[in-house]
Amino acid sequence: MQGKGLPALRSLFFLVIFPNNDITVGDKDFSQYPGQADCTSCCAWPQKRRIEQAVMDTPKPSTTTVSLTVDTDALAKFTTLLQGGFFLEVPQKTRIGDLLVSLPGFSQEYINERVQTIFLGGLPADDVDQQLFGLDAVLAISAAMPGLAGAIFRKNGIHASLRTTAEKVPLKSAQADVPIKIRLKLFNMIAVEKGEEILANGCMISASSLKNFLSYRHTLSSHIRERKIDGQNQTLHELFSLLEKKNIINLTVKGSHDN
Amino acid sequence: MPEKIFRVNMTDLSTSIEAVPDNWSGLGGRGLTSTIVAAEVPPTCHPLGPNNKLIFAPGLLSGTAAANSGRISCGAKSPLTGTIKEANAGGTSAQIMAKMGCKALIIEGQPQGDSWYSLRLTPEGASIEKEEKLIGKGNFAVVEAIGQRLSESVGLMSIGQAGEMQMAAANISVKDPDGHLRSCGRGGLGAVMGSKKIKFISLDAAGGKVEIADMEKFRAANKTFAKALVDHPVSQALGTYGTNVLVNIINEAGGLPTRNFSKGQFDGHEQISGETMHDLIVERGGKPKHNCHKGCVINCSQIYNDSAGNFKTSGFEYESIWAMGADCAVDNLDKIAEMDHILDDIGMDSIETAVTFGVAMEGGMLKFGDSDEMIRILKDEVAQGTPLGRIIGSGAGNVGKIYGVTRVPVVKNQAIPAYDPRAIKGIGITYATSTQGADHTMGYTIATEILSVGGKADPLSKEGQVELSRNLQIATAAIDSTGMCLFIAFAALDNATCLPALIDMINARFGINLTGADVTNLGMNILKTEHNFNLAAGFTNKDDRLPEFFALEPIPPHNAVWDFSGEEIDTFWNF
Repeated sequence: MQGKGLPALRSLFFLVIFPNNDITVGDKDFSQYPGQADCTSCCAWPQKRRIEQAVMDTPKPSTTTVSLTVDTDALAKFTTLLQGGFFLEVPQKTRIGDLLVSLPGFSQEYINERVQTIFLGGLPADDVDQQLFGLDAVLAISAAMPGLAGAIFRKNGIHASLRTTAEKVPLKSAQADVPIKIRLKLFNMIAVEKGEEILANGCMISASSLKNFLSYRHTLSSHIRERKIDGQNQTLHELFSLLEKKNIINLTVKGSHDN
Repeated sequence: MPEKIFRVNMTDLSTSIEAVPDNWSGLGGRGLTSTIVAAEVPPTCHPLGPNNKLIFAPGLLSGTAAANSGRISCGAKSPLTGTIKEANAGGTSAQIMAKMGCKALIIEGQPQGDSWYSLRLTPEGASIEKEEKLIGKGNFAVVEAIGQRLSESVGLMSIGQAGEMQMAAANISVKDPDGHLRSCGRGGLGAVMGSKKIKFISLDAAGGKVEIADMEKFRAANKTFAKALVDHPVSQALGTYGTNVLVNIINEAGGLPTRNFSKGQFDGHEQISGETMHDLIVERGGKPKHNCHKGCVINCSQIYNDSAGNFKTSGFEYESIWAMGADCAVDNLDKIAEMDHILDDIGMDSIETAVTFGVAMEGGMLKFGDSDEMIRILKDEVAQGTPLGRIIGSGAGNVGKIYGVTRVPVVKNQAIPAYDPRAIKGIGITYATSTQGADHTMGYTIATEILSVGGKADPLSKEGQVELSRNLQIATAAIDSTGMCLFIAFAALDNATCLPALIDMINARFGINLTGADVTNLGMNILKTEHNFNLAAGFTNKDDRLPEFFALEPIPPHNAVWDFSGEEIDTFWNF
């Protein structure tokens, strides 16, 4: 998958979606990002060029950045935050596989082998070549799941015929040049294996997700060594006050040994 | 040592040891318990009367080194459903029972008077002793007392107060290697044990061992089998999160029954998810991986501690967490764990009881989300046997009638578990046609191809869906008969070496030559045996139906309804 379009693909990860439909882009360069597996057989996902173009054309309004420095050995605990999803934005007709492979640490091999359960808009998706379109969508990915239900929802599983065939609600149409807004949820092993990289590089999440997470996992606050809001040190109380007011934040979580 | 049948007659308080009839010799687990119930229990008998029998049987490979072979199977006519019933659990009892050479324990009759008893099983047979001190006690107190009275190493199966009071939701608890509890949970079998006036059964193998006909072949097959289990990605997920890993997935699919099956998604799902549970367990010094019996290589159980780091519950399953969580709109894992602990102690099925609470909430007995009131009712009403407690202990179907609720999620009077059949129709077929009332484990994921029971109809047609569900139930019945944990199914599905290795182990254990076809036929026979018992008990095809509300009430977010006709469901039994 390594190619000339990849740096911008990685930047895609920093697209932000605001409730008012403003869009911004993170300012980090992922061209040297490690962990992206080389792949010479990914020609089935040609969307990356189009994604690159969309990213390059996207404006960069300011957004609130929250940077947390936590005990390194507690980093994994923060990846559970991603079960609530983070936000990104892609061009119309982007394939699911193109979107996923653009994420830090994801490779086509990982997607094929590890990502065994995919939901798009609450419906199981078997094909990573399936295109995304409309105004917004919720995408959720998981490792292989147990039970008959797990098998029924499994990507290309032999028990897929036991699914309920739900009538697809017509998606709100969007112009071809209007990006689709994606809320991407990472479940179970996927969050564990890739979450730290995603959090370390920053992601857009809803402020209420972080607030709720730190509330029902209140002991995690004791692992936070440093809280910066737009580069300024803040108290936990100030952080919560901010989260009350904001809709979307750019969150970065790093280990204290990483500094 | 040759295997024997231990028989206990509670009417005259006698015991005997019998040779294993030839037609039972190739059976174990559910295959054996259902065969014995069908052969010896009058189908129309009262489940709590003297003519019902309570059967315990280890699996075919229990007591050996075979991975995941330590499930104890329990069968009887169910006081909850009126059908034949089998429930199984981990713990140490299956292995001890097998090592003492007991192929099955049959408890029959009913004592006169108010005296209570216990049973003691050793290689010499069963003995009956009067019991006074532990009557009225919860299961945890029984485990502790028997550990002191006999030995920490003895196996133990017991009932709590719910079983003593013969509540339809009562279960039978089985001590696990750490002295915690596993449950033969569904169908009210604890009430049957209570009707026999047996508080507990202790088991001591006294150094006995299971004989293996061909040890070399057995070891080789077990190595292959265990590797297939360990390597499977589902096993990895189970070992990390337990079955509760399903909360987020089923919620995302819109199939997580919420607020008494009125919605398919729960706003508080992140607070009760397997991911959150895993983190809390690690943070509090519990164990995210734990085996319910020696030899398990999947370790889907866990030790969940409270916020102070003290043990609260183990074997904290998705279905229990869903039932006490989403179905009752409770989004606090610690409250759910507290309820799970109480239910273990009282000895009640966590699915039936929690679904009952959901129906009661619908009926206005208490508010959705009121976990404190749920805990109070369990402690002060159910455990004490007050009228309200007995109503809750009678199950969801009864509470629905008492409160005039029409949305009552039961099939054959047993509560539907954690997968909404409108959102996941394949499971709905299993709920409708299961011989034992709504039960998600009756049609589990088994290697349909390897067993050559794959369907012939278009899998996307309703005919094809019914056919696949049938084949899953046939295969599940076969695996249940081996006494293996159902979670071997995932590896058996995906790894071509897994199921053949299991058959090789059975052949090596007994010196026989079973084939995959034999296993399939075994599954068919078990299903037919159970179905015929139910027909003789008065059930008809009209009982193989989901409650009407599933067809009338679309479930958000996908707004699907259950749309299988009775005629389509009835084709299930065309084999």
